[in-house]
Amino acid sequence: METLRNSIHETAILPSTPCELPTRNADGVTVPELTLEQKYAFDTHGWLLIPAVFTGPELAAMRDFAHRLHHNPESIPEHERSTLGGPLQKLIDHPIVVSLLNEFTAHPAVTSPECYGFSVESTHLFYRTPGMGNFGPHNGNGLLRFPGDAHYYNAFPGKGYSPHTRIVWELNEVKKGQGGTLLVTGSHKAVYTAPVDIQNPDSDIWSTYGCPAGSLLFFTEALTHSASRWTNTDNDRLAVFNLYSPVDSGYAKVYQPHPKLLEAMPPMRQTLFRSRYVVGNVNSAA
Amino acid sequence: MAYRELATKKPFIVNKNLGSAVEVEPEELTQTNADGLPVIVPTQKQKYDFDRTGLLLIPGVLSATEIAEMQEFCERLHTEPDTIPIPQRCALGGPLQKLADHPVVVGFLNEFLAYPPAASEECYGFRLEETELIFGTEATSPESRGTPHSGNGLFRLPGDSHLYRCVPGRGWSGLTRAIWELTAVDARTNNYRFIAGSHKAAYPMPAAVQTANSSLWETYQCPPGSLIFLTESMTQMDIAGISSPDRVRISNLYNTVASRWSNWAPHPQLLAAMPAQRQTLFREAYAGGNVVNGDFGNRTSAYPIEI
Repeated sequence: METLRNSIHETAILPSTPCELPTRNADGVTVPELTLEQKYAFDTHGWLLIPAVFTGPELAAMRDFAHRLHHNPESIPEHERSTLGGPLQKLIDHPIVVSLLNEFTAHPAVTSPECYGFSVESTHLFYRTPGMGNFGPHNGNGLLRFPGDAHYYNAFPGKGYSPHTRIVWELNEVKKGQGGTLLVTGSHKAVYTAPVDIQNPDSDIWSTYGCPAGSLLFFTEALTHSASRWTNTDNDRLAVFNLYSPVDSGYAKVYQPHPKLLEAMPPMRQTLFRSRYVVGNVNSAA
Repeated sequence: MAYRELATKKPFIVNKNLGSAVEVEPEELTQTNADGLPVIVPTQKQKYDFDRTGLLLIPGVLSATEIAEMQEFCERLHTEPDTIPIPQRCALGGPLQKLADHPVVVGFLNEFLAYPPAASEECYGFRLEETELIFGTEATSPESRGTPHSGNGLFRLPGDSHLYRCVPGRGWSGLTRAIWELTAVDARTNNYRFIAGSHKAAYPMPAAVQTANSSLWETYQCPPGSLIFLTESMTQMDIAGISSPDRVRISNLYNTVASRWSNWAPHPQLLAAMPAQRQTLFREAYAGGNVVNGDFGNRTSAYPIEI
C-alpha cells in the first residue's frame, strides 16, 4: 500500500519515526492529497466548501435512502437505520474526508495505512422543512483555549490542527441565505469575546454559503457557528452531519453503530469506532 | 431582539519586568487628541471583527463639509501643487492633518498598537510612519500592484514590523494602516484585495491563491468619508485593470514607538507648526523613556502602580 508522509513530520515536533497515513480508504479508493489552497483556506477561514462531490445516480441513491430513513424507517433493516446505512456509509470515510482529516485531525502515533488516526463521534440526518432550524450561536475562539472539551484549534507555521471537525454532506441544494449553516469566518482564532451582534443572524459577522446537491462542507468546531431557519420552499434540507474527534478524546460519548452494522464494515472502517485511548490503539480493530 | 452581554474578564498582558501584568487598559491611554477632541473607543464588534479578519471598515466617519474640504485640497495637491506652500505639500497638509490623529484612529490604535508606557495625555503611544495621497488608480507603489504580499503575521519572528500577536482578550497589530476613502468605492472601482484571516494563517500561501481569481480574495465598498484599518501582517494586493480616476484616498501607516519600517518624515516647518501632542507621532523610534509627561517607570514596574 502506498503511504503518505504526514507533512507535520517535516515541520515540527514529532515522532522520531515517520508516520504513515492511509492513502486509500476502506473501499480501496485512493485518498487525494489536499491541495495547498484547501489547507490554506481551511486554516485561514475555519471552514471549506467543496461543491458537487456527488452527482447523478450515486447521489440519487443517497437521497432516496435518506428520505426513507426520515419518512419510512421501517422499510430499512434495523441495523441499517442510521446515516451509516446503505449508500450513506461510504460518506463516513470518503477519500476527500480522509484527506482533510489526515491533515487536520489525525494523530500520527495512532495511524497506519490500515487504521484511521481519528474517530467518529456522531452521525445523524438533518431533515428540515421551511420554518425549521433555530438560530443559536456557539463555540469559537479555539486558538488560545486550553484543551479539555476538544473545541480548540492549534496552529504553528505549516500546520493546523482541528481536533473536533464537522463534516456536512448537503444532499439537496442549499440556496445562500436560506437555511445553510451560519459561520463566523476566522472566529476559530479570535481572541476577543464575540460582540452582542453575534446574537443577530442578519449581522455582517455571519458568513454562509450556497451549493448544489452533493456538496461537502468542512468546519472546525472551534469556529463560532449556528443553525439558521430553513426558508427554501423549493426543496427541504437533507444533510448528513458527521462529527470527528481524535482517537484519545471527544466531547460526547464514543459513538457505537449497531453491532451487526459494525461487524459488516470493512476492518479499516471499523477503526473509526474503536475505544477512546492512545497506547497501542492502532490497528486494534482491523 | 434582546441582546445579552457575554461573561468576560480582563486579559493578562505581560509587562516588561518579571512577568508582571500591564495594569493600564487601552481606554485609559491618551483620551484626548491634539485638537482637544475626546478619543473614540472601538466597540466590541469592531475589535472582534478586526482581530478575526485583519481589516475593519468604519463607514461615514467624516462629515460632508469635511469631505468637501479635503477633496478640494487633494485635488489641488494633485493637479496644482504650486498653489500650496511647500511644507504643506503632502497628505498632512491643510485639512488633511487632522486625519493623522482623528479620535477614531487614536482609539483604535490605543487598543491594537500603543505601547502603554510610552503613552500619556500629551503623547501618543504609537508613531506615524508615512502618509500619502492616492489619487485615482495610480498607486504610488506600482511594484506591488498585482503581487500579493504580507501575511502569516501571527507566527513571524519580529524584525520588520509585519507582525500580529494576540492573547485572549487582546490583539496587537504591529504595522497598521489607516485608509481614508474620500470618495465612494464599490466592488467595481476598488482595486484593493485582501484575504480575511491571513494575518493568522499557518500555511504558506499556495500558488493557486496568488491570482486575483481565487475566491479567497475580498474587497470592500463604502461611502465617502469612511475609514479602513488593516494590519500589514495580512495578505493583500492591489489588482490591475480597475479604472477609478476620481477615487481619492489618504493612506496613513502607523508603527510602534520603538520600531520603524520606512524613513519618511514631514517637512520640518510643518512639523514645527503642529500642536505639540501631534508632533509626538513623529518622534524618534525607541522605547525606553520615550514619552512626554508620562509615567514610564511606573508603567513598566513589576509592582502595583503607585498612586
